[in-house]
Amino acid sequence: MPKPTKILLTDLRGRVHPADVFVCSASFESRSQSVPEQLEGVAFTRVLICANENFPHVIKQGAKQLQHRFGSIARLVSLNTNDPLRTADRLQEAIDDALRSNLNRFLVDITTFTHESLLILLRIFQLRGVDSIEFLYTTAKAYSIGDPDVQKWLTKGIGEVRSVLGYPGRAVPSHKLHLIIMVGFEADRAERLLQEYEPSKVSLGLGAPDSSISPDHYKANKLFHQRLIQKYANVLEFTFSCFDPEAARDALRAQALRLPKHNVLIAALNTKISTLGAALLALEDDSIQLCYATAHQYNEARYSTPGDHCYYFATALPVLLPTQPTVAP
Amino acid sequence: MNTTDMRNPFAVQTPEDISADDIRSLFVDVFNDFHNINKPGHTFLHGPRGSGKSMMFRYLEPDCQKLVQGVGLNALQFFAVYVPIKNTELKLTELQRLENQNANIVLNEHFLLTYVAVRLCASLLKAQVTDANGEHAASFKSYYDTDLRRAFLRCGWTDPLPELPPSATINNSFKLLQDIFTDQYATLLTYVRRLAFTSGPVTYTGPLCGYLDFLLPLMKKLKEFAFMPSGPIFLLMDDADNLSRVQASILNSWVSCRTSADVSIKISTQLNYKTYLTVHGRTIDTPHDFSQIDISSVYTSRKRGYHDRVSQIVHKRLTMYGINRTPEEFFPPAQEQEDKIKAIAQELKARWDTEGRGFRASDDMVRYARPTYITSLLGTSKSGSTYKYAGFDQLVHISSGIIRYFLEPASLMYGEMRSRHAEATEISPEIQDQIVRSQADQFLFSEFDRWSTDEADKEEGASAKVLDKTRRLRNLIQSLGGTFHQILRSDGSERRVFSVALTDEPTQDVLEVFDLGVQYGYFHQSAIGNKEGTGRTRLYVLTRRLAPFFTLDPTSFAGYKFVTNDALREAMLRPKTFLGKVRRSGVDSVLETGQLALFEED
Repeated sequence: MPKPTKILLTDLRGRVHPADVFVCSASFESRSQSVPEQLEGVAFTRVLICANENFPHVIKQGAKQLQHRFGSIARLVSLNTNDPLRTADRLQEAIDDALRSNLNRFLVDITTFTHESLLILLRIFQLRGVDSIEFLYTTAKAYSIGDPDVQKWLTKGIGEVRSVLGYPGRAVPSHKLHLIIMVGFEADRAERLLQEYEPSKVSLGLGAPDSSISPDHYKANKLFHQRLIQKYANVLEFTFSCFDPEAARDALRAQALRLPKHNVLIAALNTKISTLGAALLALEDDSIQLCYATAHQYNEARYSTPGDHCYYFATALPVLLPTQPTVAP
Repeated sequence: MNTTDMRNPFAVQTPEDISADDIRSLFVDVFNDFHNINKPGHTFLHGPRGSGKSMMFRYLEPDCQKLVQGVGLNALQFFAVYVPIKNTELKLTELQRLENQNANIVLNEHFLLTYVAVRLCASLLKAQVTDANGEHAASFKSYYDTDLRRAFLRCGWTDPLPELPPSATINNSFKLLQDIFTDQYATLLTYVRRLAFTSGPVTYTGPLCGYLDFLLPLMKKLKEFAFMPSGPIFLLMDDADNLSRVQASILNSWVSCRTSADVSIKISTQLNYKTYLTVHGRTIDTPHDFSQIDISSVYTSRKRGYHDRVSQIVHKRLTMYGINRTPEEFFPPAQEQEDKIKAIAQELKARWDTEGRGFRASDDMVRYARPTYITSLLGTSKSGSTYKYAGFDQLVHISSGIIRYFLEPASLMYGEMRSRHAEATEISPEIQDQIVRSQADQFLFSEFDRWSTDEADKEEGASAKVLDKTRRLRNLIQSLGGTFHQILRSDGSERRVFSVALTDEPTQDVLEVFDLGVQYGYFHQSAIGNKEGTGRTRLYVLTRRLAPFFTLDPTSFAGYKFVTNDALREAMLRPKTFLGKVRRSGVDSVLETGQLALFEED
């Protein structure tokens, strides 16, 4: 499988392979429009525009803009960040409907999906045996625009911490818990998860220096790691790629294997591409549980500015294990 | 605890990872304070995160008890089974598909029961039952081949149960039983997976075990074996707040069975247990169904108990780490500051004959020396920031009865000290002060922001109301903290005040704000005789973790002020005006009258 290719957004139109269905997510982030803007007029049969109904202003602005861009082939898929069951049901309906219409090739702009919705979507693809999926991810030029590195924030407040639907894991009640956190911007979220789960062992994953937003940001995260190591016993460290899902999966697998006879729980808090890495691992090894912490407030006004590039890649989802249940479309 | 792993003597470690040997060395016996915990009977143990609940439970496990008491398993007074309730095992998102469906209760009970059964077997294995002549193994095999097999079949077990070979040891037998339940748990998880992407009913065809018809008889039978203690089995359900509502109601139904002579259920919560209703809609009540203990209450009502406990804990940790210092030596006070306070105390003593206010000279020394010193700094620097919150005693006071609020800052202090020096045989007063102050700031600012938005998130549709409540709480804290600071600077007879007692019945809105404050550890609730001497009234104690933030003397929290409900409402709505009045008109005139505000401040 080739590594994700970083290409100029302006070159994207000429580079993408034909697909039947383009899937994207509306957001308050202007990055949600970057890829769709380049793909307007491409010969898709259907465009699925996902939008969180509990953020009505996003539907009003972002989703409307996308619907206008793609016209009659666009279908709105209403998700809800407070209700994963509803999100799963709506995504299933949309994917099943496409498959019934013999639309089998998917192109997904994962940039502005929530981590949870993206993971649920991937599980549905796996359950339905979809094997032609390509992904796009727009880079950010800057996050938490205008704030110094140590004060950058993307979300505030953690609501419910829950297992991601479709990734319940296969915990053995007599085993201890190994929590693997792929730390992102808000390092304090990692600490909140630590308090929430009280694991026996915790692995703090740091985005590799060459894939970090900036050297200063890498340093700030590193400092946070040091603080947690002082405070908690049994903290392990590792690095993972923020921009290569298979490399991220391999790093996670190696980390999980370091502690046999532990129940493994992964919290993906970094880039969506690295979240895909967590999904790849959990889809091939169903003993692993994924968790998600809902955010209360997003830095809507200054979340990010779009970069000029996007990553373009295909990743084969692991085939369903014989022990995994299938649900026919 | 493997000391090579323990990079920091104060690092937070999950008690279940600590070996029995280390538990014996580290644990400070607290059961004089919590006497219901290790006695038969269902008990709820409430306490904030980090108050030592899990450590208590770990200490009760058979491997620790055998070591501590120096006796064999069957000589113990009870057999404790540790059942940690984490979000990972029982509260799976998929189970929400069962809500409002008939099978919700029975499937959740089977799920919870299977989980408990695995933990029960794990405890039996961990207890390392000895069986030199194979007598226990033989009796267990007889039970397994007859009664237990029948019990499985009665619950709808259709998978063939494995044979227990005659050569199996008693521990092999426990392992086999554990494997049966582990497999059943895995089968249930497979069913749970099928729920994920199906909106309609999903047929379940496996067994369904209940508490009364399966788990209780199993535990009763186990208790009869000669290797078991004669006392009850304790189910130590740790962090039961993590159970879903239906799972909590199932556990309550178990509690309502009043089986405590055979099985006593000990349930720890972080004050956020979802319901006290059983599956039949009846509430479980204390003292009929269970006793309860609130750790915070115990440690804010006994003066020395907590101090002594922290001292012993720190001493044990330092010893284990090879640091031969007393807690007082390891956390020294700022000596120059203490000398000045002592000098003020001597002055007060000398003047007591003519100007004394207390019954004894020593009363005035204790009450006024430190507040006078803090006030003198405020007079010169205007900031008060040169007062050092350092010294073991002050740190204990600031931790406000929650051991983790001592250990966490201590771990950061130790880390900071080690980053500057190769060895840390004591923590400098400057580092103690710096960490304690930053923790207080964090508690009032970033942590407040975090949980207040969490609260708003929990009550979907009522976010504005909840945010309003949290804003009022922050205003209340600012108002009372500021008022207590004014009292410290006054010439009042008691200047170390952290509490207010209500003179009249509080209104619902005021109560809700205090409840929220209690839930998140900003206040502790107690009761005190009312002003008229005709009964008791509510007392709210501000946490001393905020002492550095408001520049207060944390060494006593005995002083309190009476306050009216109206005054509290004004403090919640208009903190700046409230504090302005306190400064202009004096504390008592504002606290005891109050005036309902017409408009809120921005």
